Amino acid sequence: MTKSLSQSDLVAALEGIVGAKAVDDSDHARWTYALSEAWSTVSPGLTEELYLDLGPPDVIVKPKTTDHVVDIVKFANKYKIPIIPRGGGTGNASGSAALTSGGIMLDLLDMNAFIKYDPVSRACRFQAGITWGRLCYELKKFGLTPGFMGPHGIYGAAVGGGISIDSTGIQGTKYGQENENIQNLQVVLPTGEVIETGSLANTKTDWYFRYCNGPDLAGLFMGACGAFGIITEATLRTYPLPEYHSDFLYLFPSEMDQCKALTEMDSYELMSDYMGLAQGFQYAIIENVFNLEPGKTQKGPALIHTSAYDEVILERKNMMIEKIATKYKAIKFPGDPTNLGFGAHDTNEMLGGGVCKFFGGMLHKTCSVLPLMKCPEMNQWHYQFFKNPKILELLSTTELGNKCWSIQYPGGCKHGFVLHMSMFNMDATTRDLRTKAYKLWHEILKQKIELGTSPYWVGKDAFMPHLTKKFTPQYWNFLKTLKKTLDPNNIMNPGALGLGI
Amino acid sequence: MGVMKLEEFKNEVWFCGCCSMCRETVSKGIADKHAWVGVCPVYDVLRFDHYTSRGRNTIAKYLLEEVLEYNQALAEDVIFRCLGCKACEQICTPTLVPGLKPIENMKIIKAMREDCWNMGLVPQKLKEVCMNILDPEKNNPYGLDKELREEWAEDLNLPKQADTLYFAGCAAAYQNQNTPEAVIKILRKAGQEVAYLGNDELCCGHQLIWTGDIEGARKNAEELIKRIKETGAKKVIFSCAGCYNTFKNDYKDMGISVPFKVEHISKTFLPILKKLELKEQFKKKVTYHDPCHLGRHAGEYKGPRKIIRRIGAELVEMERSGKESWCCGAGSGGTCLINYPDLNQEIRSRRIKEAQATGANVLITACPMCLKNLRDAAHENKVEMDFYDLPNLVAEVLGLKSEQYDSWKG
Repeated sequence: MTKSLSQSDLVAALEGIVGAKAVDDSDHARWTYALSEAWSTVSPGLTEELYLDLGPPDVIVKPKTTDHVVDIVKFANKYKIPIIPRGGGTGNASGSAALTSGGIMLDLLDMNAFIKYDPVSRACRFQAGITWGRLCYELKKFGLTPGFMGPHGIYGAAVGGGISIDSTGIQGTKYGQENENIQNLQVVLPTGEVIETGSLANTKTDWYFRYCNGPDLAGLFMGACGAFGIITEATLRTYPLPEYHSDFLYLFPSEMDQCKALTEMDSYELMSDYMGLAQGFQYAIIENVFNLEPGKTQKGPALIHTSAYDEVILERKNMMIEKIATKYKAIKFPGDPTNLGFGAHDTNEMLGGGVCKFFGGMLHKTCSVLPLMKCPEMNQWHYQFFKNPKILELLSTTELGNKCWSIQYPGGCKHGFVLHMSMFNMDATTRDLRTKAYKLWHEILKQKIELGTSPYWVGKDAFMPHLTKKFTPQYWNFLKTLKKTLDPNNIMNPGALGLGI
Repeated sequence: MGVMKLEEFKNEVWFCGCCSMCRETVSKGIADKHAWVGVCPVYDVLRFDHYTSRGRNTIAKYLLEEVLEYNQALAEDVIFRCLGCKACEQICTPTLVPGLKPIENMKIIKAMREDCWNMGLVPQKLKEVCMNILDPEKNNPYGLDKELREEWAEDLNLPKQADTLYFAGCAAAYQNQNTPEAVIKILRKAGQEVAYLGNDELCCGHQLIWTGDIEGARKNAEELIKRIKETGAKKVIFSCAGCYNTFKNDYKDMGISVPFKVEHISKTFLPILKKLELKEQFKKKVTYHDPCHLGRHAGEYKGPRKIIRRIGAELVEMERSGKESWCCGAGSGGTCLINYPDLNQEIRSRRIKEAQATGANVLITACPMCLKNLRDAAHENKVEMDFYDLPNLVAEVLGLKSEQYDSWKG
C-alpha cells in the first residue's frame, strides 16, 4: 500500500464508498484472499519459492455497482494503490492474487445482477460478478442456455473472471468459448472512465452486437486478466436449451484413432462436448463404475455428448457418431456415461475436477490449448517425463492403491481445439513436498511451452513467467506500451500478464 | 497449547481444492426443475469468502503453516459462525464422481472449534451454554432448573424401565412440551409403552460438541449412556433431530459406543399410521422443512414425507429441499441463534419467505429448534402459516389433540 495513506484512512475511505459491511481488512480475511486458485500448487508457506512475490491484499472490498468501482478506481489512482479485481477466485494462475506490495482486492461477486434478456438480440446482460451457476439458473427461466456453460466443473466461478482469462469449458465444442459469445462489455478504465464496447458505444443503440463502431475493443479486455481495466457488465449470446441428449463412451484402439475420430465428429458438428482420455486415473474410475476388469481400458477412451432440438435429428447425429466410431474400430461401452460425472447438458462435467480427492494430496493441473491432432505427440512427451522413477516416486497413491498421473483433453473450444490437461497429485501436507510439487509443476508448464502449446491460463503464476520469454519482442513491447498508455499509474492488477512489474 | 486438533485433519484440509462449489453453485444441474442457486447460508448473507468452507479451509492451511494463529477475532468472526448445516459437503466436488467422498468440512470445523475451546477462545455466550449443560443442578443449555425437565410428563406416569426409551431432549422438554406429550399419546394409542428418564435425562451434549468442549461432551455422553443402559432399553427413540444425530453419528465419531438401537420418530410413526385409523385427513397444502441434523447429517428425508402424505396432506416442496435444503439459521447447537442473532434472523427470514412462496399454509418440520426459529421468522416477516412439529401433526390426525395444542400453530 502507498505510504502516504494509513491503513485506517484507507479502510475509512473505502467504507465511505461501499459501506462498512462491504469492507474487511482483518488478517484472516486478507490471507483468505491471498490465494486465488483451485487445485493448483500455489499454496500457503511457499512464498519464497514463487515466481512472483504473492501476498495478502491490504483490504477486501465488495462493490455492488459500476459507480462503486469507478469511485474506488479514482481513489486508488489518486494514491497510486494497486487494485486486484477478483471474480470467483477459482483460476489456477494467481491472476486474482495480490503481490506482496498489497493493494485493494475488489471481490466482484456482489456485482451479480442478471440485468435483462433481450429477445431482439437473443442476448443477456448481467453484472460481471455473476456466477455460472446463477447465470444458467436465470436463463433457464426463459428456456435458454448460455451454450458454453462455464469452466470445467466450477459453477461457482464468475463469468467476468472467465472473460478475463479467455475461459474454455463446458460445451465450448458446440458453442465456442465464452469470449466468442460476448457481444458487449462495460469496462471501468484505469483512470475511472466507463466505456461500452461494440454496439453500445453508440448511444442510440439498444441492441447487442460486438463487431461494429470500429475495432473490436471488447477483445482488448478479454484474456487481459484485469491489466487494462475492470469489466463490470457483459452481454452474452444465448441459445435455446436443447431437449434431446445422448452420451457415449468409446474405447479406441489407439490415441491417434481416438483423435482422428473426434476430429471427424467435430468437423461435422456432431458433438456438443467431449473428453478424450489418454492416461491415468479416469481409467480406474471407468473400470470401477462399469465393473470392468482392471487394466482393460488402457487405450484411448473418449466421452462424447451430443444434443439436438429434435428427436429425429438426435437419432441421425447418434448414427453418424456411431458410424465414425466404428470406422476407427472403437468399442462402445455399455452403461450410462453420465454415471462418470460426465453429462454436459445438466451436470457440469466433473470428471476432471472431481477426482482431486481420488488421488490423495493436492492436484496439479497444466492446461494448454492444442489442436486435437497434436495431442498424441504431446502425450508422448508426458509418457517419457513420468517414466522417470524419481518423479513417479513423488506422486500420491490413489484410493485404488497405485501411483498415477493423468492426461485428458476436454473439447473446451471450437474447431478441433482442446484443452490439453496433464495432472498429477502429490501429498501437500509438508512444506518440502509442496515445494517439490511446485517445481515439478513449473517444469511441465515450461516444457509445454517449449513444445509449442498455447497456454490457457494467463495471470501471474503458472505459464506466464515462461511465456513472456517466448513472446516476439514486437508483441511484448506492444503489450507494455498498451499498459503504460491505459494505466499510467500502474494500479491495475500489477503482475498480471507479466506487466507492471 | 499442545498439538492442534486440526493437525488430525490436515489431509482433509489439503484435499480441499478451493473450487468454490461450497460457496455458490447450482445444485443437481440446470436441467433439474428444482435447481437452485446458493450453498452456504452464512456466505449468502455476509458475502466474504472466509465464511465459506473453501475460505475456512484456506485459513486452516495457514493455521497449520503457522502463517496465522488462532485468536479471538478469528474465532468470533469465522470459526463459530459456521452453521454446521453440511450443505457444503453435499455439493463438494468429489461427491459428483462415483465412489468419492466430500471434503469432511464438518469434522474440520469441529476440530477448529475444539482448538478454540482448548485455547479459551470460545464466545462467552456459547461457553455459558456449555457450563449450564455440565452443571449437575441444570443439565440443560438454558440454565433452567433440572427439576423442571420432567414437568411435561407429570400426568403421564411414564415407567422408568422398558424395552424402548423415549429421549425427549432439552428443547422439547423445556420449550416445546406438547411435542413429547404428543409422542407419548401416539405411542400409547398404538399400544406401545416407553420408558422415560425424567429428571435423570441429561442433555445429549449436542451443543458441547459443536462448541468444541469435546472432553465435556465425552463425560456427559458416557454418563447419559450409562443411565439409559440401566433402564434396560434396547431401543431409544427421538423426536429431536439434533439429539438423534448426536446419538447416531457424533458419539460414534468421538469413539463412544452406543449399545442400543436409535430411531427417529418419523420411522416409528409410519407403521403406526398404517395401522391406526385417522380421525380426519389433513386436507391442507403443506411444506416440509428438512432439519439439517435429520436430513444431511442423519440421512433421513423420506420418513417425514411419507408421514405427511399418509395423513392426506398435499406436500409442496420448497425450492431448496431434501439434500439441498436451506438451513433455518439456528446453527448446530443453536450457535448462530445464540451468538449471532442478526445473522440468524436474516437467514431464517430467507427460509420462511421460501416456504411462503410454495403457497402452503402449513409448515411442518421435525426439529424443535427449527420449529421455534421458523415460527419466529414468520412472526417477524408477517407470514401467516401454521407450524407443526411432526408429532403434533400426527397427534392431530389421530384425534389426540388437546386444547393447548393450538399454541403450536404460531
